[in-house]
Amino acid sequence: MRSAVADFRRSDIRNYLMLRNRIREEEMVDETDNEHEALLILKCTAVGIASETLADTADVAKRLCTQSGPVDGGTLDPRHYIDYQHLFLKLARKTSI
Amino acid sequence: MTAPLKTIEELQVDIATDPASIVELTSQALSDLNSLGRQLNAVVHVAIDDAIARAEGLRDTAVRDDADRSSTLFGIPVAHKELYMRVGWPCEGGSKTLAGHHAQRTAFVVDKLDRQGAVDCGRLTSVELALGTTGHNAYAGTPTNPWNLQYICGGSSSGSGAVVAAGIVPVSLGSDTGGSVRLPAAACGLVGIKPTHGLVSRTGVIALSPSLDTVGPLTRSVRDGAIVLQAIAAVDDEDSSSVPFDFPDLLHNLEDGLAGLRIGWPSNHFFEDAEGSVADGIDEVFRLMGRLGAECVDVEVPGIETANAMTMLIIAVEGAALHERTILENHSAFGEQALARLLVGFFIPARDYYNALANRASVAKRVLAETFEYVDTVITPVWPYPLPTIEESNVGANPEAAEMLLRSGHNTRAVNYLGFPAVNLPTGFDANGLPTSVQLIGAPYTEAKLLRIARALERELNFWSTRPRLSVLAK
Repeated sequence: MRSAVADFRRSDIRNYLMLRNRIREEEMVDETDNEHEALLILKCTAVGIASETLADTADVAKRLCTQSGPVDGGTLDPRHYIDYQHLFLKLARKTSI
Repeated sequence: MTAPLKTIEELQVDIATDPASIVELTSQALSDLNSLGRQLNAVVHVAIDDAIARAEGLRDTAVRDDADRSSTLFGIPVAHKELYMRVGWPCEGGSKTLAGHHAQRTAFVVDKLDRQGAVDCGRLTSVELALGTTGHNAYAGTPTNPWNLQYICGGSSSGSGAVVAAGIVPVSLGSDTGGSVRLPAAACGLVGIKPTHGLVSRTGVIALSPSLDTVGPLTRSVRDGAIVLQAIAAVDDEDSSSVPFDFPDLLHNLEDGLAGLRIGWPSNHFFEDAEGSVADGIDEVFRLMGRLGAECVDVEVPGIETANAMTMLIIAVEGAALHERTILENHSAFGEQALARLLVGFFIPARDYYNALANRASVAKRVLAETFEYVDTVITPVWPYPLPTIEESNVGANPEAAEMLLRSGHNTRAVNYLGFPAVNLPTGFDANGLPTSVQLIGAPYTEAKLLRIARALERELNFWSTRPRLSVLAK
Protein backbone atom coordinates (compact mmCIF):
# COMPACT_ATOMS: atom_id res chain seq x y z
CA MET A 1 0.00 0.00 0.00
CA ARG A 2 2.74 2.39 0.97
CA SER A 3 4.44 1.87 -2.40
CA ALA A 4 1.19 2.39 -4.31
CA VAL A 5 0.65 5.76 -2.68
CA ALA A 6 4.25 6.73 -3.21
CA ASP A 7 4.05 5.89 -6.89
CA PHE A 8 1.47 8.46 -7.90
CA ARG A 9 1.71 9.33 -11.51
CA ARG A 10 0.95 12.75 -12.82
CA SER A 11 -2.19 11.42 -14.55
CA ASP A 12 -3.47 9.95 -11.32
CA ILE A 13 -3.26 13.31 -9.64
CA ARG A 14 -4.90 15.01 -12.60
CA ASN A 15 -7.78 12.48 -12.51
CA TYR A 16 -8.13 12.97 -8.81
CA LEU A 17 -8.28 16.75 -9.11
CA MET A 18 -10.91 16.53 -11.84
CA LEU A 19 -13.01 14.26 -9.69
CA ARG A 20 -12.63 16.49 -6.67
CA ASN A 21 -13.71 19.51 -8.69
CA ARG A 22 -16.78 17.69 -9.90
CA ILE A 23 -17.73 16.69 -6.39
CA ARG A 24 -17.23 20.24 -5.11
CA GLU A 25 -19.36 21.63 -7.91
CA GLU A 26 -22.17 19.35 -6.83
CA GLU A 27 -21.69 20.44 -3.24
CA MET A 28 -21.34 16.84 -2.28
CA VAL A 29 -18.77 17.36 0.41
CA ASP A 30 -18.01 20.29 2.65
CA GLU A 31 -14.54 21.17 3.83
CA THR A 32 -14.91 19.66 7.28
CA ASP A 33 -15.39 16.13 5.90
CA ASN A 34 -12.66 16.22 3.31
CA GLU A 35 -9.41 15.02 4.78
CA HIS A 36 -9.88 11.27 5.18
CA GLU A 37 -12.12 10.95 2.14
CA ALA A 38 -9.72 12.92 -0.04
CA LEU A 39 -6.88 10.63 0.96
CA LEU A 40 -8.98 7.56 0.16
CA ILE A 41 -9.93 8.89 -3.26
CA LEU A 42 -6.33 9.71 -3.95
CA LYS A 43 -5.36 6.18 -3.02
CA CYS A 44 -8.18 4.73 -5.14
CA THR A 45 -7.08 6.57 -8.24
CA ALA A 46 -3.49 5.63 -7.52
CA VAL A 47 -4.31 1.93 -7.47
CA GLY A 48 -6.19 2.17 -10.75
CA ILE A 49 -9.88 2.51 -9.88
CA ALA A 50 -11.42 4.49 -12.70
CA SER A 51 -12.45 8.09 -12.08
CA GLU A 52 -15.80 7.34 -13.72
CA THR A 53 -16.45 4.58 -11.19
CA LEU A 54 -15.62 6.90 -8.34
CA ALA A 55 -17.81 9.64 -9.76
CA ASP A 56 -20.74 7.23 -10.14
CA THR A 57 -20.39 5.98 -6.59
CA ALA A 58 -20.18 9.58 -5.37
CA ASP A 59 -23.52 10.20 -7.07
CA VAL A 60 -25.07 7.21 -5.30
CA ALA A 61 -23.68 8.40 -1.97
CA LYS A 62 -25.11 11.85 -2.52
CA ARG A 63 -28.54 10.36 -3.27
CA LEU A 64 -28.43 8.19 -0.15
CA CYS A 65 -27.50 11.15 2.05
CA THR A 66 -30.37 13.16 0.61
CA GLN A 67 -32.88 10.34 1.06
CA SER A 68 -31.72 9.77 4.62
CA GLY A 69 -32.92 13.23 5.49
CA PRO A 70 -31.16 16.30 6.81
CA VAL A 71 -28.73 15.96 9.66
CA ASP A 72 -30.55 16.79 12.85
CA GLY A 73 -28.18 18.47 15.28
CA GLY A 74 -30.34 17.24 18.12
CA THR A 75 -29.41 13.66 17.39
CA LEU A 76 -25.70 14.35 17.60
CA ASP A 77 -25.75 13.42 21.23
CA PRO A 78 -23.81 10.30 22.20
CA ARG A 79 -26.73 9.07 24.27
CA HIS A 80 -28.79 8.48 21.14
CA TYR A 81 -26.37 5.84 19.93
CA ILE A 82 -26.40 3.98 23.22
CA ASP A 83 -30.18 4.29 23.33
CA TYR A 84 -30.58 1.68 20.62
CA GLN A 85 -28.87 -1.14 22.51
CA HIS A 86 -30.60 0.00 25.72
CA LEU A 87 -33.96 -0.19 23.97
CA PHE A 88 -33.40 -3.85 23.13
CA LEU A 89 -32.11 -4.67 26.60
CA LYS A 90 -35.24 -3.08 28.06
CA LEU A 91 -37.56 -4.86 25.62
CA ALA A 92 -35.85 -8.20 26.26
CA ARG A 93 -36.49 -7.80 29.99
CA LYS A 94 -40.13 -6.89 29.68
CA THR A 95 -41.22 -9.07 26.74
CA SER A 96 -43.17 -12.13 27.74
CA ILE A 97 -44.80 -14.44 25.27
CA MET B 1 -45.34 -32.95 -7.57
CA THR B 2 -43.44 -35.79 -5.96
CA ALA B 3 -43.85 -37.05 -2.38
CA PRO B 4 -43.32 -34.48 0.37
CA LEU B 5 -39.88 -34.29 1.95
CA LYS B 6 -39.47 -35.21 5.58
CA THR B 7 -39.41 -32.67 8.35
CA ILE B 8 -36.71 -32.53 11.02
CA GLU B 9 -39.05 -34.24 13.49
CA GLU B 10 -39.91 -37.02 11.02
CA LEU B 11 -36.21 -37.59 10.39
CA GLN B 12 -35.64 -37.74 14.14
CA VAL B 13 -38.22 -40.52 14.42
CA ASP B 14 -36.41 -42.45 11.66
CA ILE B 15 -33.08 -41.97 13.44
CA ALA B 16 -34.49 -43.06 16.80
CA THR B 17 -35.86 -46.21 15.17
CA ASP B 18 -32.69 -47.00 13.25
CA PRO B 19 -29.52 -45.12 14.32
CA ALA B 20 -27.64 -46.46 11.31
CA SER B 21 -29.84 -44.22 9.18
CA ILE B 22 -27.76 -41.25 10.35
CA VAL B 23 -24.91 -42.38 8.10
CA GLU B 24 -27.28 -43.13 5.22
CA LEU B 25 -28.93 -39.74 5.59
CA THR B 26 -25.58 -37.97 5.66
CA SER B 27 -24.25 -39.96 2.69
CA GLN B 28 -27.33 -39.05 0.66
CA ALA B 29 -26.97 -35.36 1.54
CA LEU B 30 -23.28 -35.39 0.60
CA SER B 31 -23.98 -37.16 -2.66
CA ASP B 32 -26.76 -34.71 -3.52
CA LEU B 33 -24.62 -31.70 -2.60
CA ASN B 34 -21.88 -33.01 -4.89
CA SER B 35 -24.17 -33.69 -7.84
CA LEU B 36 -27.45 -31.78 -7.76
CA GLY B 37 -26.11 -29.00 -5.54
CA ARG B 38 -23.17 -28.34 -7.84
CA GLN B 39 -25.41 -28.44 -10.91
CA LEU B 40 -27.49 -25.73 -9.28
CA ASN B 41 -24.26 -23.70 -8.73
CA ALA B 42 -25.21 -23.71 -5.07
CA VAL B 43 -22.31 -25.55 -3.45
CA VAL B 44 -18.74 -24.40 -2.84
CA HIS B 45 -17.50 -27.06 -0.40
CA VAL B 46 -18.62 -30.62 0.36
CA ALA B 47 -17.08 -31.92 3.59
CA ILE B 48 -17.28 -35.64 2.83
CA ASP B 49 -14.70 -36.97 5.29
CA ASP B 50 -15.66 -34.69 8.19
CA ALA B 51 -19.38 -35.30 7.77
CA ILE B 52 -19.12 -39.08 7.45
CA ALA B 53 -16.85 -39.24 10.52
CA ARG B 54 -19.31 -37.09 12.43
CA ALA B 55 -22.30 -39.21 11.35
CA GLU B 56 -20.54 -42.44 12.29
CA GLY B 57 -19.67 -40.98 15.67
CA LEU B 58 -23.29 -40.00 16.30
CA ARG B 59 -24.49 -43.41 15.12
CA ASP B 60 -22.15 -45.15 17.53
CA THR B 61 -23.32 -42.92 20.37
CA ALA B 62 -26.94 -43.72 19.58
CA VAL B 63 -26.25 -47.45 19.33
CA ARG B 64 -24.56 -47.36 22.74
CA ASP B 65 -27.64 -45.46 23.93
CA ASP B 66 -25.41 -42.60 25.10
CA ALA B 67 -27.16 -40.07 22.89
CA ASP B 68 -28.68 -36.99 24.44
CA ARG B 69 -32.35 -37.44 23.54
CA SER B 70 -33.02 -33.75 24.07
CA SER B 71 -30.77 -32.87 21.13
CA THR B 72 -33.23 -31.48 18.63
CA LEU B 73 -31.06 -31.89 15.54
CA PHE B 74 -29.45 -35.23 16.33
CA GLY B 75 -28.14 -36.71 13.07
CA ILE B 76 -29.75 -34.05 10.85
CA PRO B 77 -27.59 -33.04 7.86
CA VAL B 78 -27.12 -29.29 7.41
CA ALA B 79 -25.06 -26.99 5.17
CA HIS B 80 -24.62 -23.25 5.46
CA LYS B 81 -23.85 -20.10 3.51
CA GLU B 82 -20.15 -19.72 2.86
CA LEU B 83 -19.86 -16.85 5.33
CA TYR B 84 -20.07 -19.33 8.22
CA MET B 85 -16.69 -20.36 9.58
CA ARG B 86 -15.61 -23.82 10.68
CA VAL B 87 -11.98 -24.33 11.62
CA GLY B 88 -9.98 -25.56 8.65
CA TRP B 89 -12.81 -25.35 6.13
CA PRO B 90 -12.67 -23.04 3.09
CA CYS B 91 -14.20 -19.65 3.86
CA GLU B 92 -14.14 -17.32 0.88
CA GLY B 93 -17.37 -15.40 1.39
CA GLY B 94 -18.11 -15.71 -2.32
CA SER B 95 -15.23 -13.36 -3.10
CA LYS B 96 -12.03 -13.78 -5.06
CA THR B 97 -10.48 -11.40 -2.54
CA LEU B 98 -10.62 -14.29 -0.05
CA ALA B 99 -9.57 -17.02 -2.50
CA GLY B 100 -7.86 -19.87 -0.69
CA HIS B 101 -8.82 -18.57 2.75
CA HIS B 102 -9.56 -21.16 5.42
CA ALA B 103 -11.41 -20.43 8.64
CA GLN B 104 -9.38 -20.04 11.82
CA ARG B 105 -12.34 -20.53 14.12
CA THR B 106 -15.84 -21.98 14.23
CA ALA B 107 -18.88 -19.72 14.25
CA PHE B 108 -20.84 -19.55 17.51
CA VAL B 109 -24.05 -20.73 15.85
CA VAL B 110 -22.33 -23.56 14.00
CA ASP B 111 -21.06 -24.75 17.37
CA LYS B 112 -24.59 -24.44 18.79
CA LEU B 113 -25.92 -26.68 16.01
CA ASP B 114 -23.07 -29.15 16.62
CA ARG B 115 -24.13 -29.34 20.25
CA GLN B 116 -27.65 -30.21 19.12
CA GLY B 117 -26.30 -33.08 17.04
CA ALA B 118 -26.42 -31.59 13.53
CA VAL B 119 -24.09 -33.01 10.86
CA ASP B 120 -22.43 -30.15 8.98
CA CYS B 121 -22.00 -31.25 5.36
CA GLY B 122 -20.57 -28.22 3.59
CA ARG B 123 -20.77 -24.61 2.48
CA LEU B 124 -23.10 -22.99 -0.01
CA THR B 125 -22.72 -20.21 -2.51
CA SER B 126 -23.16 -16.62 -1.35
CA VAL B 127 -23.34 -13.40 -3.28
CA GLU B 128 -19.91 -11.78 -2.99
CA LEU B 129 -19.48 -10.72 0.65
CA ALA B 130 -23.28 -10.76 0.97
CA LEU B 131 -23.50 -7.62 -1.17
CA GLY B 132 -26.43 -8.34 -3.42
CA THR B 133 -30.01 -9.51 -3.60
CA THR B 134 -30.32 -11.46 -6.85
CA GLY B 135 -27.71 -14.17 -6.34
CA HIS B 136 -25.40 -13.23 -9.20
CA ASN B 137 -21.78 -14.08 -8.51
CA ALA B 138 -19.24 -14.21 -11.33
CA TYR B 139 -16.58 -15.78 -9.09
CA ALA B 140 -18.41 -18.41 -7.02
CA GLY B 141 -21.26 -19.07 -9.45
CA THR B 142 -24.85 -17.91 -9.74
CA PRO B 143 -27.23 -20.46 -8.20
CA THR B 144 -30.29 -21.41 -10.23
CA ASN B 145 -33.76 -21.70 -8.79
CA PRO B 146 -34.88 -25.33 -8.33
CA TRP B 147 -38.46 -24.37 -9.24
CA ASN B 148 -37.31 -23.11 -12.63
CA LEU B 149 -33.65 -23.13 -13.60
CA GLN B 150 -33.93 -19.93 -15.67
CA TYR B 151 -34.76 -17.89 -12.59
CA ILE B 152 -32.72 -16.42 -9.76
CA CYS B 153 -32.61 -17.82 -6.24
CA GLY B 154 -32.45 -14.38 -4.69
CA GLY B 155 -29.62 -13.37 -2.42
CA SER B 156 -27.41 -13.06 -0.80
CA SER B 157 -28.02 -16.49 0.79
CA SER B 158 -28.62 -17.87 -2.69
CA GLY B 159 -27.01 -21.31 -2.30
CA SER B 160 -28.91 -21.85 0.95
CA GLY B 161 -32.19 -21.18 -0.82
CA ALA B 162 -31.40 -23.49 -3.72
CA VAL B 163 -30.14 -26.42 -1.63
CA VAL B 164 -33.00 -26.44 0.88
CA ALA B 165 -35.63 -25.97 -1.83
CA ALA B 166 -34.09 -28.87 -3.78
CA GLY B 167 -34.51 -31.08 -0.72
CA ILE B 168 -30.80 -31.78 -0.25
CA VAL B 169 -30.75 -30.72 3.41
CA PRO B 170 -33.71 -29.61 5.56
CA VAL B 171 -32.03 -26.50 6.90
CA SER B 172 -29.35 -23.97 6.06
CA LEU B 173 -28.22 -20.87 7.89
CA GLY B 174 -28.12 -17.68 5.88
CA SER B 175 -27.32 -14.11 6.85
CA ASP B 176 -29.58 -11.07 6.55
CA THR B 177 -28.29 -7.49 6.48
CA GLY B 178 -31.02 -6.01 4.28
CA GLY B 179 -33.10 -9.03 3.30
CA SER B 180 -30.59 -11.75 2.43
CA VAL B 181 -32.45 -14.55 4.24
CA ARG B 182 -35.96 -13.40 3.33
CA LEU B 183 -35.35 -12.68 -0.37
CA PRO B 184 -33.93 -16.14 -1.22
CA ALA B 185 -36.49 -17.80 1.03
CA ALA B 186 -39.23 -16.01 -0.92
CA ALA B 187 -37.66 -16.83 -4.27
CA CYS B 188 -37.26 -20.50 -3.44
CA GLY B 189 -40.51 -21.15 -1.53
CA LEU B 190 -38.99 -21.48 1.94
CA VAL B 191 -39.55 -20.24 5.44
CA GLY B 192 -36.87 -17.65 6.20
CA ILE B 193 -36.40 -16.11 9.62
CA LYS B 194 -34.64 -12.81 10.28
CA PRO B 195 -34.41 -12.70 14.07
CA THR B 196 -34.51 -9.71 16.41
CA HIS B 197 -31.30 -7.66 16.70
CA GLY B 198 -29.03 -9.30 19.26
CA LEU B 199 -30.95 -12.57 19.59
CA VAL B 200 -28.57 -14.74 17.55
CA SER B 201 -24.79 -14.35 17.62
CA ARG B 202 -22.86 -13.32 14.51
CA THR B 203 -19.48 -14.34 15.90
CA GLY B 204 -17.55 -16.32 13.31
CA VAL B 205 -19.70 -15.17 10.41
CA ILE B 206 -18.04 -12.92 7.81
CA ALA B 207 -19.46 -9.46 8.49
CA LEU B 208 -20.91 -7.02 6.00
CA SER B 209 -22.38 -4.37 8.28
CA PRO B 210 -22.04 -5.13 12.00
CA SER B 211 -24.80 -2.69 12.92
CA LEU B 212 -27.31 -4.51 10.72
CA ASP B 213 -26.10 -8.09 10.22
CA THR B 214 -28.31 -10.88 11.51
CA VAL B 215 -28.20 -14.62 10.96
CA GLY B 216 -31.16 -16.90 10.54
CA PRO B 217 -32.39 -20.20 9.09
CA LEU B 218 -33.99 -21.16 5.80
CA THR B 219 -36.21 -24.23 6.10
CA ARG B 220 -39.10 -25.82 4.26
CA SER B 221 -41.56 -25.68 7.16
CA VAL B 222 -42.36 -23.26 9.97
CA ARG B 223 -41.87 -25.99 12.56
CA ASP B 224 -38.36 -26.74 11.24
CA GLY B 225 -37.55 -23.02 11.36
CA ALA B 226 -38.72 -22.84 14.96
CA ILE B 227 -36.57 -25.83 15.95
CA VAL B 228 -33.45 -24.33 14.39
CA LEU B 229 -34.02 -20.83 15.77
CA GLN B 230 -34.51 -22.35 19.21
CA ALA B 231 -31.17 -24.11 18.84
CA ILE B 232 -29.14 -21.05 17.83
CA ALA B 233 -30.64 -18.22 19.91
CA ALA B 234 -28.30 -17.56 22.82
CA VAL B 235 -26.23 -14.88 24.50
CA ASP B 236 -22.68 -14.53 23.19
CA ASP B 237 -20.22 -12.33 25.05
CA GLU B 238 -18.12 -11.96 21.91
CA ASP B 239 -20.95 -10.29 19.99
CA SER B 240 -21.50 -6.71 21.15
CA SER B 241 -25.10 -6.73 19.90
CA SER B 242 -26.00 -9.82 21.93
CA VAL B 243 -28.91 -9.25 24.31
CA PRO B 244 -29.77 -11.60 27.19
CA PHE B 245 -33.30 -12.87 26.63
CA ASP B 246 -35.25 -15.66 28.26
CA PHE B 247 -36.28 -17.27 25.02
CA PRO B 248 -39.63 -19.09 25.12
CA ASP B 249 -40.26 -22.59 23.81
CA LEU B 250 -41.08 -21.72 20.21
CA LEU B 251 -43.03 -24.94 19.65
CA HIS B 252 -45.27 -24.49 22.69
CA ASN B 253 -47.88 -22.15 21.15
CA LEU B 254 -47.08 -22.85 17.53
CA GLU B 255 -50.43 -24.49 16.76
CA ASP B 256 -52.59 -21.93 18.59
CA GLY B 257 -53.93 -20.28 15.44
CA LEU B 258 -54.84 -16.66 14.74
CA ALA B 259 -57.71 -16.06 17.14
CA GLY B 260 -57.16 -12.94 19.19
CA LEU B 261 -54.35 -11.60 17.01
CA ARG B 262 -54.36 -8.35 15.04
CA ILE B 263 -52.83 -8.21 11.58
CA GLY B 264 -51.79 -4.86 10.09
CA TRP B 265 -51.92 -3.93 6.41
CA PRO B 266 -49.39 -1.10 5.99
CA SER B 267 -50.91 2.02 4.45
CA ASN B 268 -47.52 3.48 3.53
CA HIS B 269 -44.27 2.40 1.82
CA PHE B 270 -44.61 -1.37 1.44
CA PHE B 271 -47.21 -1.53 -1.31
CA GLU B 272 -46.21 1.69 -3.07
CA ASP B 273 -43.69 -0.17 -5.19
CA ALA B 274 -45.51 -3.50 -5.42
CA GLU B 275 -46.73 -4.70 -8.78
CA GLY B 276 -50.42 -5.59 -9.04
CA SER B 277 -50.10 -9.36 -9.02
CA VAL B 278 -47.87 -9.20 -5.94
CA ALA B 279 -50.24 -6.93 -4.01
CA ASP B 280 -53.24 -9.07 -5.02
CA GLY B 281 -51.52 -12.17 -3.68
CA ILE B 282 -50.85 -10.54 -0.31
CA ASP B 283 -54.42 -9.26 -0.18
CA GLU B 284 -55.73 -12.82 -0.59
CA VAL B 285 -53.59 -13.98 2.34
CA PHE B 286 -54.71 -10.98 4.41
CA ARG B 287 -58.36 -11.92 3.83
CA LEU B 288 -57.62 -15.53 4.68
CA MET B 289 -56.17 -14.41 8.01
CA GLY B 290 -59.45 -12.65 8.74
CA ARG B 291 -61.37 -15.83 8.00
CA LEU B 292 -59.05 -17.71 10.33
CA GLY B 293 -60.05 -15.49 13.23
CA ALA B 294 -57.55 -12.63 13.17
CA GLU B 295 -58.63 -9.00 13.29
CA CYS B 296 -57.35 -7.27 10.16
CA VAL B 297 -56.71 -3.52 10.25
CA ASP B 298 -54.87 -0.81 8.33
CA VAL B 299 -51.81 0.60 10.04
CA GLU B 300 -49.03 3.09 9.33
CA VAL B 301 -45.36 2.31 9.81
CA PRO B 302 -43.80 5.74 10.49
CA GLY B 303 -40.34 6.69 9.30
CA ILE B 304 -39.93 3.59 7.18
CA GLU B 305 -38.93 5.40 3.95
CA THR B 306 -36.07 7.18 5.69
CA ALA B 307 -35.08 3.97 7.43
CA ASN B 308 -34.82 2.27 4.05
CA ALA B 309 -32.29 4.85 2.82
CA MET B 310 -30.39 4.83 6.11
CA THR B 311 -29.99 1.06 5.87
CA MET B 312 -28.25 1.41 2.51
CA LEU B 313 -26.12 4.23 3.87
CA ILE B 314 -24.98 2.21 6.89
CA ILE B 315 -24.21 -0.88 4.78
CA ALA B 316 -22.12 1.22 2.39
CA VAL B 317 -20.07 2.89 5.13
CA GLU B 318 -19.50 -0.19 7.26
CA GLY B 319 -18.79 -2.37 4.22
CA ALA B 320 -16.26 0.16 2.95
CA ALA B 321 -14.61 0.36 6.35
CA LEU B 322 -14.36 -3.44 6.64
CA HIS B 323 -12.91 -3.86 3.16
CA GLU B 324 -10.98 -0.61 2.75
CA ARG B 325 -7.61 -2.26 2.91
CA THR B 326 -8.53 -4.90 0.33
CA ILE B 327 -10.03 -2.26 -1.97
CA LEU B 328 -6.78 -0.35 -1.92
CA GLU B 329 -4.51 -3.36 -2.20
CA ASN B 330 -6.43 -5.69 -4.50
CA HIS B 331 -9.46 -3.92 -5.97
CA SER B 332 -9.40 -5.88 -9.22
CA ALA B 333 -10.24 -9.05 -7.29
CA PHE B 334 -13.67 -7.66 -6.42
CA GLY B 335 -16.61 -8.20 -8.72
CA GLU B 336 -17.76 -5.02 -10.41
CA GLN B 337 -20.99 -4.76 -8.43
CA ALA B 338 -19.46 -5.45 -5.04
CA LEU B 339 -16.71 -2.90 -5.61
CA ALA B 340 -19.17 -0.24 -6.77
CA ARG B 341 -21.35 -0.75 -3.69
CA LEU B 342 -18.40 -0.67 -1.31
CA LEU B 343 -16.91 2.48 -2.84
CA VAL B 344 -20.12 4.38 -2.08
CA GLY B 345 -19.13 4.27 1.56
CA PHE B 346 -16.01 6.37 0.87
CA PHE B 347 -18.19 9.28 -0.20
CA ILE B 348 -20.59 9.39 2.72
CA PRO B 349 -19.69 12.04 5.30
CA ALA B 350 -19.19 10.86 8.86
CA ARG B 351 -21.98 13.10 10.10
CA ASP B 352 -24.54 11.36 7.85
CA TYR B 353 -23.41 7.93 9.05
CA TYR B 354 -23.57 9.06 12.65
CA ASN B 355 -26.98 10.58 12.04
CA ALA B 356 -28.27 7.28 10.65
CA LEU B 357 -27.11 5.39 13.73
CA ALA B 358 -28.16 8.05 16.20
CA ASN B 359 -31.72 8.12 14.86
CA ARG B 360 -32.13 4.37 15.10
CA ALA B 361 -33.57 4.21 18.59
CA SER B 362 -36.06 7.00 18.02
CA VAL B 363 -37.34 5.49 14.76
CA ALA B 364 -37.68 2.07 16.41
CA LYS B 365 -39.53 3.54 19.40
CA ARG B 366 -41.88 5.41 17.09
CA VAL B 367 -42.72 2.25 15.13
CA LEU B 368 -43.30 0.40 18.39
CA ALA B 369 -45.62 3.11 19.67
CA GLU B 370 -47.51 3.89 16.47
CA THR B 371 -47.62 0.47 14.82
CA PHE B 372 -46.97 -2.47 17.11
CA GLU B 373 -48.99 -0.99 19.94
CA TYR B 374 -51.99 -1.78 17.71
CA VAL B 375 -51.06 -4.91 15.77
CA ASP B 376 -49.17 -8.15 16.36
CA THR B 377 -47.69 -8.25 12.87
CA VAL B 378 -47.51 -6.21 9.70
CA ILE B 379 -47.99 -8.17 6.48
CA THR B 380 -46.01 -7.10 3.40
CA PRO B 381 -44.53 -8.45 0.19
CA VAL B 382 -40.88 -9.49 0.12
CA TRP B 383 -40.14 -9.06 -3.59
CA PRO B 384 -42.08 -6.07 -4.95
CA TYR B 385 -42.28 -7.66 -8.40
CA PRO B 386 -42.56 -11.19 -9.84
CA LEU B 387 -39.23 -12.99 -9.65
CA PRO B 388 -36.94 -12.14 -12.61
CA THR B 389 -34.84 -14.56 -14.62
CA ILE B 390 -31.08 -14.71 -14.16
CA GLU B 391 -30.62 -12.88 -17.45
CA GLU B 392 -33.20 -10.17 -16.74
CA SER B 393 -31.55 -9.29 -13.44
CA ASN B 394 -27.96 -9.40 -14.71
CA VAL B 395 -26.64 -5.85 -14.43
CA GLY B 396 -23.97 -6.51 -17.03
CA ALA B 397 -26.49 -7.69 -19.63
CA ASN B 398 -29.63 -5.67 -18.92
CA PRO B 399 -29.55 -1.87 -18.41
CA GLU B 400 -32.78 -2.03 -16.41
CA ALA B 401 -31.33 -4.52 -13.95
CA ALA B 402 -29.70 -1.84 -11.79
CA GLU B 403 -33.08 -0.31 -11.01
CA MET B 404 -34.49 -3.79 -10.41
CA LEU B 405 -31.72 -4.43 -7.89
CA LEU B 406 -32.41 -1.21 -6.03
CA ARG B 407 -36.11 -2.03 -5.79
CA SER B 408 -35.53 -5.61 -4.65
CA GLY B 409 -34.82 -4.68 -1.04
CA HIS B 410 -37.58 -2.08 -0.78
CA ASN B 411 -39.62 -4.18 1.67
CA THR B 412 -36.83 -5.84 3.63
CA ARG B 413 -34.00 -3.36 4.29
CA ALA B 414 -35.72 -1.10 6.78
CA VAL B 415 -36.52 -4.08 9.02
CA ASN B 416 -32.78 -4.47 9.63
CA TYR B 417 -32.50 -0.79 10.50
CA LEU B 418 -35.27 -1.20 13.06
CA GLY B 419 -33.73 -4.46 14.32
CA PHE B 420 -37.15 -6.12 14.39
CA PRO B 421 -37.86 -9.77 13.52
CA ALA B 422 -39.48 -10.89 10.28
CA VAL B 423 -40.51 -14.19 8.74
CA ASN B 424 -40.96 -15.07 5.08
CA LEU B 425 -43.71 -17.60 4.48
CA PRO B 426 -44.35 -19.19 1.06
CA THR B 427 -47.99 -18.97 0.05
CA GLY B 428 -48.40 -20.42 -3.45
CA PHE B 429 -47.23 -19.96 -7.03
CA ASP B 430 -47.30 -17.09 -9.50
CA ALA B 431 -48.15 -17.18 -13.18
CA ASN B 432 -44.64 -18.41 -13.99
CA GLY B 433 -44.93 -21.32 -11.56
CA LEU B 434 -42.55 -19.69 -9.08
CA PRO B 435 -43.21 -19.38 -5.35
CA THR B 436 -45.11 -16.43 -3.90
CA SER B 437 -44.82 -15.39 -0.28
CA VAL B 438 -45.61 -12.91 2.47
CA GLN B 439 -43.38 -11.16 4.97
CA LEU B 440 -44.59 -10.97 8.57
CA ILE B 441 -42.85 -8.25 10.57
CA GLY B 442 -43.15 -8.12 14.35
CA ALA B 443 -42.00 -6.22 17.41
CA PRO B 444 -38.68 -7.25 18.99
CA TYR B 445 -38.61 -10.71 20.58
CA THR B 446 -41.99 -11.75 19.20
CA GLU B 447 -40.58 -14.56 17.06
CA ALA B 448 -42.88 -17.07 18.81
CA LYS B 449 -45.92 -15.04 17.80
CA LEU B 450 -44.71 -14.53 14.21
CA LEU B 451 -44.06 -18.26 13.84
CA ARG B 452 -47.49 -19.05 15.31
CA ILE B 453 -49.08 -16.77 12.69
CA ALA B 454 -46.96 -18.29 9.94
CA ARG B 455 -47.87 -21.79 11.07
CA ALA B 456 -51.60 -20.98 11.00
CA LEU B 457 -51.25 -19.89 7.38
CA GLU B 458 -49.01 -22.82 6.51
CA ARG B 459 -51.65 -25.25 7.73
CA GLU B 460 -54.17 -23.70 5.35
CA LEU B 461 -51.92 -23.14 2.36
CA ASN B 462 -49.88 -26.33 2.73
CA PHE B 463 -47.13 -25.03 0.46
CA TRP B 464 -44.37 -26.86 2.26
CA SER B 465 -45.46 -30.31 1.18
CA THR B 466 -44.78 -29.49 -2.49
CA ARG B 467 -41.33 -29.69 -3.99
CA PRO B 468 -39.70 -28.71 -7.27
CA ARG B 469 -39.51 -31.12 -10.15
CA LEU B 470 -35.83 -31.70 -10.65
CA SER B 471 -35.96 -34.46 -13.20
CA VAL B 472 -34.04 -32.26 -15.63
CA LEU B 473 -31.06 -32.64 -13.36
CA ALA B 474 -29.43 -35.94 -12.52
CA LYS B 475 -30.09 -36.77 -8.89
